[in-house]
Amino acid sequence: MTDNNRELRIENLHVKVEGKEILKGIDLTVEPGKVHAIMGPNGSGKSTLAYTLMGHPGYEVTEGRAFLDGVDITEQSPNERAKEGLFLAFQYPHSIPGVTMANFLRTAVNAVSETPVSARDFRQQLREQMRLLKMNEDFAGRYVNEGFSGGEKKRAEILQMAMLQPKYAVLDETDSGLDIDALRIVADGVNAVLGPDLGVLVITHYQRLLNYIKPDFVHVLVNGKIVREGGPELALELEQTGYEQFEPAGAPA
Amino acid sequence: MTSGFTIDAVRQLSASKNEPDWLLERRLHAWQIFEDLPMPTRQDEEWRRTDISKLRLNELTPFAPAGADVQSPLRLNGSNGGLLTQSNSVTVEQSLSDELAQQGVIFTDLDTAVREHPDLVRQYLSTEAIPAEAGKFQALNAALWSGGVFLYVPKGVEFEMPVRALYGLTAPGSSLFTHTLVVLEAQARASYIEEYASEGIDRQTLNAGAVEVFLRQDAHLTYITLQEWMGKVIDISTQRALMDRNSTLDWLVVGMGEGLTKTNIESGLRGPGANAQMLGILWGYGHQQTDYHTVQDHMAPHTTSDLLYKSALTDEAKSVFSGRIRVDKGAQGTDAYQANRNILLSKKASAFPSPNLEIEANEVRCTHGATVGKVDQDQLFYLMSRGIPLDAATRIVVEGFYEDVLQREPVASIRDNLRELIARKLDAS
Ligand SMILES: Nc1ncnc2c1ncn2[C@@H]1O[C@H](COP(=O)(O)OP(=O)(O)O)[C@@H](O)[C@H]1O
Ligand SMILES: [Mg+2]
Repeated sequence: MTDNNRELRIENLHVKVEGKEILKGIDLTVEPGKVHAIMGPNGSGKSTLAYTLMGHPGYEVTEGRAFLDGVDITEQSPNERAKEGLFLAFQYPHSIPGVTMANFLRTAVNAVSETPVSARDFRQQLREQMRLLKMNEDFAGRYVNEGFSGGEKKRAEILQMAMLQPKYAVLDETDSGLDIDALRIVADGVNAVLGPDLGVLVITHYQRLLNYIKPDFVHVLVNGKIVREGGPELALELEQTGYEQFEPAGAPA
Repeated sequence: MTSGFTIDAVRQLSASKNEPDWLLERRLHAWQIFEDLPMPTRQDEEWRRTDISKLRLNELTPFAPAGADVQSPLRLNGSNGGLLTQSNSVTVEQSLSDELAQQGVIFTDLDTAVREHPDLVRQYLSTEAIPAEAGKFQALNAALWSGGVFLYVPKGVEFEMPVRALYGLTAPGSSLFTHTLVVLEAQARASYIEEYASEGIDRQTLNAGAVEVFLRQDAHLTYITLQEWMGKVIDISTQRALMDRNSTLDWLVVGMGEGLTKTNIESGLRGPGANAQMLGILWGYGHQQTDYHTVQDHMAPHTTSDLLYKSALTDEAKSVFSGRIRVDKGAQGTDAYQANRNILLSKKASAFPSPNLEIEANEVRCTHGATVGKVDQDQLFYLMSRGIPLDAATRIVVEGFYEDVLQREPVASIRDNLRELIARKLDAS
């Protein structure tokens, strides 16, 4: 594999959900060490892109492909994609009653890593990451997302990202529902994981999060298409102008 | 021993054990009832969803000598407070710790109990709890039981360390009539674990079992009963507890077997303040059919019952659950809860829960709920997005599904063993 291949590349992606075309040809490339932001109004297809990248069976790719470091992942199962190094922080994480965070994470870590992690190393890593995210010790013993507050759910997503050490992470509205303190903790957590090896796709409705996680590029997604691209300054501009300029008259914002 | 079911088989069985006349009379009376009652069919409400027309009683032998050892499904080792092992129709091993024996605890097979404690056995066996009149298979058991378990805890004696029994089956084409009799006198407290297990049985084989439990005033029994009959075993059993004033029964039923199971499970709360907790962990796979009829029978005021049965099903397994709550006119101040939860892991698995309330008192708190659902696809996607393959993800969801039962206090002593057993069963399918 050559260095040129080290990227998450989305080519002309068309996606249908329940028979309706939601994504209408997306081209996007995320390089290791870079932060890309996708911004767009509600319903523009941001989560659809995230779910499709992760391989949700309900999202049908009708055209186009996605490659992770040169590997075509378009037809792969979600767990294969995770093993290739892709991670999705869910906008709405699901709860799994009766399954503790610790058990879940241990199974996940062992599933993505080539060699099994010893119970001791795992516990140590988990404690360390939870400390960084200012999570209570009892968190590991709670059932996955069960009865978590909005902020706890988002922190739990970042904890999973930190433990799984992906090559590319898609963060779907990780800022939504967070107060300013929680937002800072989550952003610190993300920044702690950021480095030259991780490529990030931050999906957000507001530019607020981008004050904490600095994007290198900004893409504007409206009605299933990328309508504008630019540097970090584009996020600030959108804060002023909103998304109306991109939408046909009468369409819901 | 003659093969086939005849009155002579009953006489021979009794004679071979040198039984007293009262017991022979009881067996013959039961036999008469068995003969008089018609074989249940799907026209009978209780058997509506379970077809036993394929049962060929006349091709089965009513007694089978001991065979090879069978492993404890929970992998329980050692004798704990006491251990009794029955192989086919014969008791092969029994022990009781000195400590319990010195306090007057009796833990032995029923044959021995008949000889050594005839008055106790005569008072309780096939009388109030499960008389022969209860039904065709109850009568058959009362006529032909062999071996069996007798646990008696005297007044005020308490022990934590469970005593346990293992009923092993290795004789294809035979029929077993397991019979457990548990009596706790006033203020007694005990814990009893019972397992029914076989290796793969390649021909039709029957167990028509009976469990009779008597709890006197303020007694407290933790009772765990687990069945893992493998192969072509038909199990038609009745388990009934009669509970006096302020007694407590914590009762876990674990169903892991693969054959056809029809079990009646009844808590008879006949003394004021009696309290029954009824838990179930059921795993269905292959062509398994289970039919559980539970009864929470509130006969006295201020009695409480809380039932939670959870069943996960895959392949073509079929589960019937009929949960009855009865509240007598006089049973004011009753609290009765019932929940039956089913998840289906395959297209062909099915579950048929039906709650059934007969409430004659007016000051009653009663809730019931039954659900049947598929494994949540979003949960699976979430787990798979973390690198966990589909089969492992499904397993995690199922293990989580059972967890609230596993967390209940009565399960504590065998929680890890049960987790391992569940994991083993899920791995195997
Ligand atoms: N599972 C689904 N079933 C039906 N419609 C869906 C589903 N997911 C998304 N959609 C539709 O696709 C469009 C884009 O939704 P989504 O990707 O969630 O947008 P965003 O995340 O940008 O708010 C919306 O019109 C939404 O109603
Ligand atoms: Mg969204």
